[in-house]
Amino acid sequence: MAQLTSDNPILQLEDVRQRYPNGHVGLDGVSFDVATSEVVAIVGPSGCGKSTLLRCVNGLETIAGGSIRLDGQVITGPGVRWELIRQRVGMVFQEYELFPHLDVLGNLLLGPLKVAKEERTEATARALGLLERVGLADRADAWPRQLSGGQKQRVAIIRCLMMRPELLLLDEITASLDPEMVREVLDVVAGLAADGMTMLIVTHEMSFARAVADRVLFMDAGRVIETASPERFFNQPATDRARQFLAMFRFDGPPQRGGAPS
Amino acid sequence: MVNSGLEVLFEGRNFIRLLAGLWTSLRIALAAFGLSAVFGLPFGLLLASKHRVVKFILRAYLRFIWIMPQLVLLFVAYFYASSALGLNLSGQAAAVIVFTAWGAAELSDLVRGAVTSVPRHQYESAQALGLTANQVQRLVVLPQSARRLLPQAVNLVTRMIKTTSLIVLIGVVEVLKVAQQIIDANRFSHPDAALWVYGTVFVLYFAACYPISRLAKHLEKKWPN
Repeated sequence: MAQLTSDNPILQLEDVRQRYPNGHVGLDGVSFDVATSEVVAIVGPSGCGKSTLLRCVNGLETIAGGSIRLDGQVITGPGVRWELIRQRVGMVFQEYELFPHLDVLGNLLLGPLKVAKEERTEATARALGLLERVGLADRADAWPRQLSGGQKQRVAIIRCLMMRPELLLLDEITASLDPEMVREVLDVVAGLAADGMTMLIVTHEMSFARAVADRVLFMDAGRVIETASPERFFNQPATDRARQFLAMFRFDGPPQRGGAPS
Repeated sequence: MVNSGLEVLFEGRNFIRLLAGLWTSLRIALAAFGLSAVFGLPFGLLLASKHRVVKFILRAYLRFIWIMPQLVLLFVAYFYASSALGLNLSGQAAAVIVFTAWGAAELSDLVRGAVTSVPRHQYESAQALGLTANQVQRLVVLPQSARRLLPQAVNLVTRMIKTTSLIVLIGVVEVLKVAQQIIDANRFSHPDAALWVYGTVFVLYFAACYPISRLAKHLEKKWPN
């Protein structure tokens, strides 16, 4: 097994198993480590368990076996205070899930003021700084409904950053965006990667995964099938299933009709 | 001399009496709505929760109230309660009780709808920020539910005000009954009074309900969702 164990893993998954109430197996023994400042892209076909994996790390799904450690501390099992773990593990979802009853600034301040009990003036200054950074300095007072999908998703990302997470989970954050808005969101993520943010990214944007990830995890049927550097995974995938998966993203024109099979 | 029905309105204390009748209607509707909120809000939260037994009981209650015409409930409360339970309720008290029972049922269903219409990912993204279950409810779910609930709740107030016209049948003298009394008292001197008096009642109901629905519109705009 290609186990890329690092010296200072911030996240360690060991034989993590998860099963949905309807009996569907979400995760079937997943083990891997994530090093500090590492960017791991998780790819794979729909239903392979990649979103489930992120949701388990954030306690939105309960695991049935194995363990997850954050900074050496086991965060699975009975009695875990998930609201404390989640302050350290940020998550951004596919849906533009800003809180519609709060304006942009209100969205950004909710966590710092209510959870982290931060000073309002200080948190506001930080929020404005982050807005500036993602090019939304003038939208602090806007309502979510006045923003485009890409703008909402950028706000959702910095809403997570407001909590100063040690680890960021991005769950297909560009999947519901119009194509012309994907880039602006990915640029923000690439900027975070450059700053050394540790991230677990579930994505269908293969070229993005290739550009930004330090490592690619290929999952299928609830298992990690292949772990490799982006170069290696996209150029010479080691498994047939990965090859089949990657072939779906290539379009070589319509299938030949009546042509001789090559 | 033309005996216009319009004169009837301003004869003696007629207009004041109509206003007093309207006040009776409003008082009953508003008291019942206030009590409905006291019961309906927690009922609705329970309906949106996972307590199976409580939900079953509340649903049975809802069904019962929905099936029964309000008039039947009024008769039951007014006549049956006194004969079977020995409670000698005034018409107004019976009306408040019945309207509360009805309003609590309606409101609880509206609350349930408002709370359950908050999408799942709203809960999840709030949780993901580290909010406790209580904070998720208090800071994210309930404010959004309130904004969804408000127009429908206000609509319920206006429906309650209008439905008070039934309570004349258990002997409460409200605006419609006063109107009838005025018309009857002037039947010979002003045969066409009915049009004017009922027209006034129409205007009075409108004057009572319109500001309330305007308020709902205003709040809907102020609290965009």
